[in-house]
Amino acid sequence: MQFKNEEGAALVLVLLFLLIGTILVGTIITTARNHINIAVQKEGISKAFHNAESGVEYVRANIDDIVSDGIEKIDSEDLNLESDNIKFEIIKENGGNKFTSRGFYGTSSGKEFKQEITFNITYSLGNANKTFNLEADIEGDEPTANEMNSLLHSQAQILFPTFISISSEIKPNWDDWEEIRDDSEGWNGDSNLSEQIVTFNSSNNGNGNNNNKGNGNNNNNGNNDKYKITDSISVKNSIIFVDGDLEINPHIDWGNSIIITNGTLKFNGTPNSSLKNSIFFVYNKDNENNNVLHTAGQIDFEEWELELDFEELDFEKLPVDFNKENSIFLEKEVTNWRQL
Amino acid sequence: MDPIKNEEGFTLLEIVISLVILLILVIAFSGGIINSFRTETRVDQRLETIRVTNSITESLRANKKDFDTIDNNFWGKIENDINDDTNYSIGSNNDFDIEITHSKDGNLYLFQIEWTNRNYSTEVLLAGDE
Repeated sequence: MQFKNEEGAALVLVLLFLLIGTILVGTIITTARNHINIAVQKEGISKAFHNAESGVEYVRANIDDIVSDGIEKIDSEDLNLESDNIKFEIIKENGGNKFTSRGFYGTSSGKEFKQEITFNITYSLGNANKTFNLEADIEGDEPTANEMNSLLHSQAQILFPTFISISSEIKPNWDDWEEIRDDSEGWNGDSNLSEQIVTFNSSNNGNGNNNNKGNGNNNNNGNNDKYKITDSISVKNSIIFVDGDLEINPHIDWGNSIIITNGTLKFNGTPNSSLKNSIFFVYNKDNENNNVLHTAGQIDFEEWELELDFEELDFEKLPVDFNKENSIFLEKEVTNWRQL
Repeated sequence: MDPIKNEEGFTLLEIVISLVILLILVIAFSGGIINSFRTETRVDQRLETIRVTNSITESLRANKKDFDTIDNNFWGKIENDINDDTNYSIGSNNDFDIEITHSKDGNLYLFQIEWTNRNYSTEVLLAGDE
């Protein structure tokens, strides 16, 4: 009779426990699986992101070549370093300087992850926004900024320190300038002024070329050609390339211009016009092969300083010919970094 | 029969059988449960690994200016940046928890970050600070 007793609840209880146990264990296993997925996802995204960032760093390290060669697409296969895991591609967007770096990571189970970063390459003068920029090219050890300053000071008598700072950031060689000049069609555009005084203007400005052409007196004297800009003119958004000495009168109104001379630069007196956002590159050498900045007349630099108002040069306003070739001159930078 | 006054209860046999069945169930499930806990531990460790690796990468990025002199001092600095509650030893041979090797091409540095006792490694490129 005992086995035919159907009153007990043991079976029901066991089944109930079985159900609860299954649900509990199922939950634990599902949670664990979810956590695995989260970890895999996080690892994948993190590694893909590192790869995309590696692409940006590749651009940072090779920015000069990338800008000068105008590279449209870069692949991690271009890497000279031995790496099996870094996979990225960098694509230049149409127009402008916008780039996208895509980083990829694939798990052993075949899951693919992708992360994207966009960035721009911008050009700036960096912190080398200085009035005079003199090339130090002395044989032997390169002089320190202090030595160079004292050298220049001794040559140029009293020069307000603000105006003579040796820039290590932007220091194109004279040869580099010549290369830029020769590569740009416009530099030799005027047969009368070819490789002597050449000025380029933005189209919206009437000053510059014509004025300089009219006022540039070509006096051949000794080793260097000498050029004078004597009238009170305004030089705006221009690039003046002087293969010789340049003497300028103090009434010239300078604005957003680059003046490069491989001879001496003479100001005949304290400039009484503004000198806004302009840079003078002077590559003069004295008998001892030192770079010298010459000033003539009485220059009151303290007075002059009041007239100065420096912002960065606006390269957009400079002649297009120069902009095409400005890669040597400008500091290039990765900006607007943005993760997509 | 008033159920409240029913004093029959379970028989010993019933209880023994149900306990045996429960025991079998627990043994059957225990593998899964223990495995799940182990997995959770591993996942936790993995996430920590990813987190610390990311911190190392950021610390390397912050110390770009010292890339030209990567020595024990450099790794000590990175180690200080990372270690807070936990203590990882970071260096460039496999005596360390985290072994970081590097190679360079011009101003571009490739860092390979490998956890010697965990199956994890990652690589990252960083440009030096010129």
